[in-house]
Amino acid sequence: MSLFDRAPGSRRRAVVAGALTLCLCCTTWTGPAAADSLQQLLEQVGTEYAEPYSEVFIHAFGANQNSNLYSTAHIPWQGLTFGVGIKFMGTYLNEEDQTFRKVVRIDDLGAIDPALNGQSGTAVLSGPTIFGDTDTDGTIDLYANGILVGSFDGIPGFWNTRWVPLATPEFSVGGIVGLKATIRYFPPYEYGDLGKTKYMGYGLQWSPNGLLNEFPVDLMIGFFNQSLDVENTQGLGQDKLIDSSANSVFLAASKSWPALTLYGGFAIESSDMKVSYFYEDVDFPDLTQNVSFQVDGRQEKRFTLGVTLDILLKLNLEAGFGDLSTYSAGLMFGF
Amino acid sequence: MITKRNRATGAVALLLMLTVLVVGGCESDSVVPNDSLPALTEGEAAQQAALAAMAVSRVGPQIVLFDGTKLSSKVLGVYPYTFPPGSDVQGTVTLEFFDGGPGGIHSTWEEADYALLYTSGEEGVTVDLESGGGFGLTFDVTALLDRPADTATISGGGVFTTGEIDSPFGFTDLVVTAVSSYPSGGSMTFTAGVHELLVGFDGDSTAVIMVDDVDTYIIDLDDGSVTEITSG
Repeated sequence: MSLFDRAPGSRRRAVVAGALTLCLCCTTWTGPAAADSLQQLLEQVGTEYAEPYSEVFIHAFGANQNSNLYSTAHIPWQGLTFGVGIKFMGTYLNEEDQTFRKVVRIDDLGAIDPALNGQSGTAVLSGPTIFGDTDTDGTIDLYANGILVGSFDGIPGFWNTRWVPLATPEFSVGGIVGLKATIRYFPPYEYGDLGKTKYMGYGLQWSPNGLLNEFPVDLMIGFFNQSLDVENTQGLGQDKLIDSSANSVFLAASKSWPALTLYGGFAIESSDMKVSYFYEDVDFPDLTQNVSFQVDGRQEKRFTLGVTLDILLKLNLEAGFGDLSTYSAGLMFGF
Repeated sequence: MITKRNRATGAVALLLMLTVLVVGGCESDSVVPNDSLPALTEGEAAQQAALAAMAVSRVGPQIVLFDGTKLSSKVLGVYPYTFPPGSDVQGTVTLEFFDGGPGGIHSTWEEADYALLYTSGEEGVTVDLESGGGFGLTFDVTALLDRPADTATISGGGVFTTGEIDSPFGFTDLVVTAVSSYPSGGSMTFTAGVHELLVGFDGDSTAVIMVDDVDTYIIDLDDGSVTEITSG
């Protein structure tokens, strides 16, 4: 396969582009104007380029999913507690992550350009990432014997921003012996030609405060698992176009006053996203093949600090710090 | 009822929120690959030096081959020279001629005993290779002209650029003549990554690259190819 998909004008099934568009659309903030433009962008490049280009989105998306999983460590041991609302998250990217450079050793440059058949060399893929400059194209440079022997255009950024947003509705119920269950959920929905999309998260928290009445702060432990799947409708044996998951195990503490709760915690977390699709190149049929790549989220642990204001509604503001810095807010109705 | 305790609580909460906001300016660690450019091998550095030497044998002699009767000068002694279509080198260099040495005054090319040759902007002149790809060179050199002998002794240097790789070079008493495109003497120091190569010219169609004072490669100045010298 020409991993660098540089031939303009060829028609390709850029479902990965649409799927990533979908994930970006799981938010109340849609920065880029047209979801189709991301599809058009990713149609022009292959896996070796698409991975570093979109990797920052995958890392940030996982960190967002594992954010704002609680807004207090207090869970009553008697009496019902119920909540419904929406959580908003944003990861603040490092400025360096708006560009990328990846160096790949190539045994036979002829696989990319037949004129270079038999020559070994190096490919340098560089340019804006998915959240980089939308006016500058990336480049794919081929070097042999220390000399540039070929240069092709990459793609520009899709959305020039350092903030990666996500929003999700949330429901919770609890209050029996300190247990609370939480669900995040989008109903399955068909997004154009992409197929059915499902988003589901569930978690359980437990507070030992019923046993530690005199402890000065409330304590809580819990876990949360989430998955977002996009169905592959190509009918070529691949169930899922996108298969992502996020998991977190956390320990939290909080201190409450009238109308105000301060809370903090530590979490061990993970996330990953696997993209699979069948690449079909009409102009170069020999390049047609299955494409699949998986990226594990970078963040493995985080510290959280937040505050909840309880005035009719519960408004919480939170910051999470690990490899990625994530800020979130939540608005919950309940009792 | 607002009590002192509640006020203190509110103050702490506000302070905390402010802290969160301030700390909110903290950005994430970088998570995207930003690989360094591949390190050049000695062989690759030698290839770059060979191509630079080939280009120098095309550009350098312009200092003495230049015919001021065929070009106009808007400013006395300042001549832009554009390589003709079909030549190995493409682009424009600027030649300035002086009478009275480095501190002299601008003069016509016939009266000059000192010259500058330089490129403007970042691109300089370019060379496209038959095998594909290419490179560019910038120049910033000075030359002492010997009119009776029609030779020039060149100092200064420039930068060889291919893709994102920049390799500077410098001349030591490089002698170019009007009778041959091959420099008749002097040397060029070429630095590519961690490699520093010395290219020696002797007037014929080849040049020698020395590595650590040892003759290691031979350059064909006609096509820029390089061959490693094997012992035995």
